[in-house]
Amino acid sequence: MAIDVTKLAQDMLSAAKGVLTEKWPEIEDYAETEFKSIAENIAMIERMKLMGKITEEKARLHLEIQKNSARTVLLTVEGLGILAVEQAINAALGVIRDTVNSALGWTLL
Amino acid sequence: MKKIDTQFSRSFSYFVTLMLILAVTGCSVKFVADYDEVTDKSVTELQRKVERFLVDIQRKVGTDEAAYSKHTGFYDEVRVDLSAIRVRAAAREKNEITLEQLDLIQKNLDNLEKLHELGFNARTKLNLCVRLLVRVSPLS
Repeated sequence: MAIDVTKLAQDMLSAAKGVLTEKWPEIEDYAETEFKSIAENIAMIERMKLMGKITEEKARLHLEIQKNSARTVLLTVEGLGILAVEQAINAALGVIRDTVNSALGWTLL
Repeated sequence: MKKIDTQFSRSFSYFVTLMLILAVTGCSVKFVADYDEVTDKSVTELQRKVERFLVDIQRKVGTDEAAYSKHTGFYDEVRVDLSAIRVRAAAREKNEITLEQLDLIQKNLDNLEKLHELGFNARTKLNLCVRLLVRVSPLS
């Protein structure tokens, strides 16, 4: 079953919001963009896997790039520390872990 | 009772004096370093370098010209650039977040290099890597 990018992004957004409630108005736009990118990246990996054009190792590298980029962007929000960003990212990825790993057949998250 | 009153009075006087000094000098507590134009320009130039590289590679994917062995110089160069930016950032106080961002960029450079070694796929959205590889702002 094809990964639903919109739902994936929305689930990540909701999870992150639960962690960063106080700062959410400042961070929402950034978070929306970054989690959408992560979701699109996961969907790209799924398509490429179906075509036999990507290995698990490459998929993992792609995802790491997206995750690190999300961390970098969220750190630009004034007052948001390293720990808070990490908690938000972990919460976002945690909520989609089973869906993604199950859909891809790889333990990427 | 008189002794306590005297001690309290003295402590209160010190406190008031300290508050006056702070008010006059306009002290404020800084949690992050100030903006640094040199770092900002360096990172912007670095981003342009990475984008030029990825646009070029995207065009060559699937040919020998895209082979990692032909582009190791790029990764070495960017590594040196990042190192120089990091040294400057590390010299500034309260710059932990910028340093963390630079470390994340370094990790992404390493990941991009590994991907390149394994071989880029024509469908790889390298433009995503471009957008996300170098994002450090506001800079300190």
